[in-house]
Amino acid sequence: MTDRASTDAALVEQYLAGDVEAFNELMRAHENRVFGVCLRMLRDREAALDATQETFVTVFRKADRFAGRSAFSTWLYRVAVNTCYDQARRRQRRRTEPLPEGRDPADSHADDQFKAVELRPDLERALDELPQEFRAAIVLADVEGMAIQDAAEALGVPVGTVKSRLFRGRRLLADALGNLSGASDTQSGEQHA
Amino acid sequence: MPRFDPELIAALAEGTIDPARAETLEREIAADPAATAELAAQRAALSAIAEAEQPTLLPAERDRIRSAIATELGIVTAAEEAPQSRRIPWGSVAIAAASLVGVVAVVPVVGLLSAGGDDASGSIAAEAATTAPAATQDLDLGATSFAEEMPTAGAERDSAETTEQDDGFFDTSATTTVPTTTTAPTATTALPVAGTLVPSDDLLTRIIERLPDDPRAASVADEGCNTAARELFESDAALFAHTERLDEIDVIAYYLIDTDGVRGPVAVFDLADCSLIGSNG
Repeated sequence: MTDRASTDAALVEQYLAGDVEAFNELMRAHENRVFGVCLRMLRDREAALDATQETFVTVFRKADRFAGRSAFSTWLYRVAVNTCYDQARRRQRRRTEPLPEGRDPADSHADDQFKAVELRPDLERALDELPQEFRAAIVLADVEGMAIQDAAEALGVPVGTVKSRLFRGRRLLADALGNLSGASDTQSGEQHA
Repeated sequence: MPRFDPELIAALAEGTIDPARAETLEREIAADPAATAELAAQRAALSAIAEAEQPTLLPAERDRIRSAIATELGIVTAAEEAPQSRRIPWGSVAIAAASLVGVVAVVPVVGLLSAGGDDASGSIAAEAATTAPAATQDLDLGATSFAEEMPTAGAERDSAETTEQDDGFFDTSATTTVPTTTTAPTATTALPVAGTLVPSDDLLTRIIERLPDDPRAASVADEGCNTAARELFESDAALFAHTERLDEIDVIAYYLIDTDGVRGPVAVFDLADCSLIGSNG
């Protein structure tokens, strides 16, 4: 068990014993990474904030069920990924519902969703184009640097499936990056013409 | 059939193969245009990812999340018990401090001028004496949290607007972070009872009632809690799964089917974190 994993396991016990500082410590240790995963999974800052909140609420509520067989972070990311899947499904359902009368579709915050990430827009857009399960594997293993075994546990799939998703996902990502780069070249060429 | 194992190409791109083997493999792959393109794609993706920065919560967002989580969990913080310290009133503190200094300086003079009189200076001094500890406590609370949060706040300060930073930062100390020092003696803990699921038996019974009549009508989803179910059943046989949303909880029921097509024991998991809700086996 790594130092972080041991520390987390101890903090979970302290939290269950009623130590509020253990709660703060766990939040401090993981909130940014969970938020990062959610932001890249959902591509929307507000949705990612909601998912981050929901993830921690779920995890703390069920902290007594944490058996310590795997690292706390693995469990946490599993909850985060599943929460993001759930959020994405809910958002998808909402998108298919008709807009309320009088709402101008041009008022939507679609552009803001892209601006919200503001890291490497081409990469973020390319990630956005990936099928969700490929994106999740890439975000956990390649972006967050989780070991394949841990990513597999977090995603609830066999190690081989994660490897396959990583391989195919990276290929799609490279294609998307190439296309985006081609598209932006064309756009800038048109602007300069 | 591809000549090179994709796993090998991925490992080469990741740089996890020993250098000697990698060099040989690289040469072999160079002779195969498809594999070369694949390796280039893997490297391009990994290189782009390596350049990506870690998204960070802005202090105001962090405050909001911590506060909301604490509220949902019923965690009582010092700030909630003492709502007057939610935001440190620096202006008032400065005025109070200045007044205190002024009073300290003026009182002896006034005392000399009005020996034994019950003039206003007495009440001002008394007021100063009662407000000063309160102000000090607020300051200590902030200072403690400030020290705790400095590294993060400092790192995030580079990429965020100053006004948001300052507001958010002090909100953090007041809303969710409970200082560990004695400056917050009211930081009592009131943690919730973990687990708010409906009684397992009830949920288990209800989902079993909803399982398809034909056991084989359910399918095995790729996602879900397959690993946890396999661990529980201790079996590599085909798993059948059925998902439902009950009482605002997404659950997944797993079962095996024996050779006679009869459904075996059912295990139900919470899809959010794959914790076992119950099983009838």
